[in-house]
Amino acid sequence: MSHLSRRDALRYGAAAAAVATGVAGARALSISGSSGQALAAPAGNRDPRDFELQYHGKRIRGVHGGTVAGPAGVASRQRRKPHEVFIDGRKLAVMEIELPAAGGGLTIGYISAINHYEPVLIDAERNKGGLLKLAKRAVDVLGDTELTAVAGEHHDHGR
Amino acid sequence: MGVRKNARDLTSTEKAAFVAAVKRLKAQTTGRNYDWFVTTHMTYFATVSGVRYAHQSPSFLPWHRQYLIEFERALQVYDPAVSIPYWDWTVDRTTSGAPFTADFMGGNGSGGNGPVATGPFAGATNWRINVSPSSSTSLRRAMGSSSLPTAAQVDSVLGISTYDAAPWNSSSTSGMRNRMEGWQTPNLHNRAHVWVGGHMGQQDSPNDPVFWLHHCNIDRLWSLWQTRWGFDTGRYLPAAGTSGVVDLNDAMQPWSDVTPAAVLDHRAGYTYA
Repeated sequence: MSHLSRRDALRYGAAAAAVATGVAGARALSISGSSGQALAAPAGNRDPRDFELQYHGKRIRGVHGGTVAGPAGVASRQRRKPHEVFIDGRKLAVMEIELPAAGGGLTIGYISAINHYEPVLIDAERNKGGLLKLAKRAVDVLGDTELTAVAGEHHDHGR
Repeated sequence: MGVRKNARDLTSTEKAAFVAAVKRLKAQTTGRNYDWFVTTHMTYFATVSGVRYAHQSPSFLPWHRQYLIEFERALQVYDPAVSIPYWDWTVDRTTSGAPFTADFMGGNGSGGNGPVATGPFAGATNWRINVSPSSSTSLRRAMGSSSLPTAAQVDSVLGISTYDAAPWNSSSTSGMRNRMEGWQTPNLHNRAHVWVGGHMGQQDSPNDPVFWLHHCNIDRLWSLWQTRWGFDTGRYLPAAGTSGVVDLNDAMQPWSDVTPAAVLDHRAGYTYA
């Protein structure tokens, strides 16, 4: 195991608190907490794959995270800002995990609180529409329900 | 010692007893109640203090083994005769057969992607979802739009003698664990979650009681692998000194004193029929 960083210790503290409060507290099914988290990309800085459209009665929006300068020595995949998906204005956190690539080597798959066991590929050449596919799948799962605040919580799946 | 049976072999009385105990744990208002188990699973899907405890890691199998043991003990407070049954999806592969019958887990979601309409967990009055990334207070399923693993695929995974391999995550390719967990083909565990759909496909999958039957089957398959290759501590990897994952003698959060080594040989506590 690795040593705890301060950030990790804080994160663990928060996780433990969430477990302790359980049903009564932080994770009740409130859908108010994550609405209205507008995130407009700066004009002229949009990824051409970004989207905002109506799908099966819900407004879906996707913002592809560009690469940002990271600290020296950090692998390139860790310098990417997270992709972001919003469904009816509520955030669905999108998380990266490494997967075995079909032809050997690694690829990056994306999961969320809604498709937690079924990653989609986003960035590879034939998967340019991956984030839209993920958003549509989430809408299909949600049906007539909405995301709650829990769906917008970023969590790290490690590497 | 408990005997965990195939769900298709339970008597009506055994099915009713399991459902009743689950509902009493759901109604419990303090301590490690049903929603504590849901919340714990949500928390430990991700890294906690930089360590992958429950998923995308070697401790996927021992972590869930301990999680099931604790759940089973919580049920046995209400009914000492209850054990968790398993759903063998290589045999029971339909949306209306065992265990998805009206006297046990109930059936598919209405319209194929909505609230479960039959059985003891249908509707928020019978079974209320309290903790979830989606706002539905009724249990939902969307069964059968993908495929379940086959017996031949299970055999291929159980034939791999190496437990797990670096880099000890969802991209590991040369061990049994990642094929069992399912980030690598043939993908056993993840696929059954996706096949049931609804809450079972989400971060809060234990909200669907069939979660326990599915994971009991995964634990049974690991036990079959151990029967073939060994229950001894030398069969778990990594042994020591590995960053970000649980080594053989590291504690598995949220339990402070339970290590993979401590749960490898389950046969004194429970067996599979």
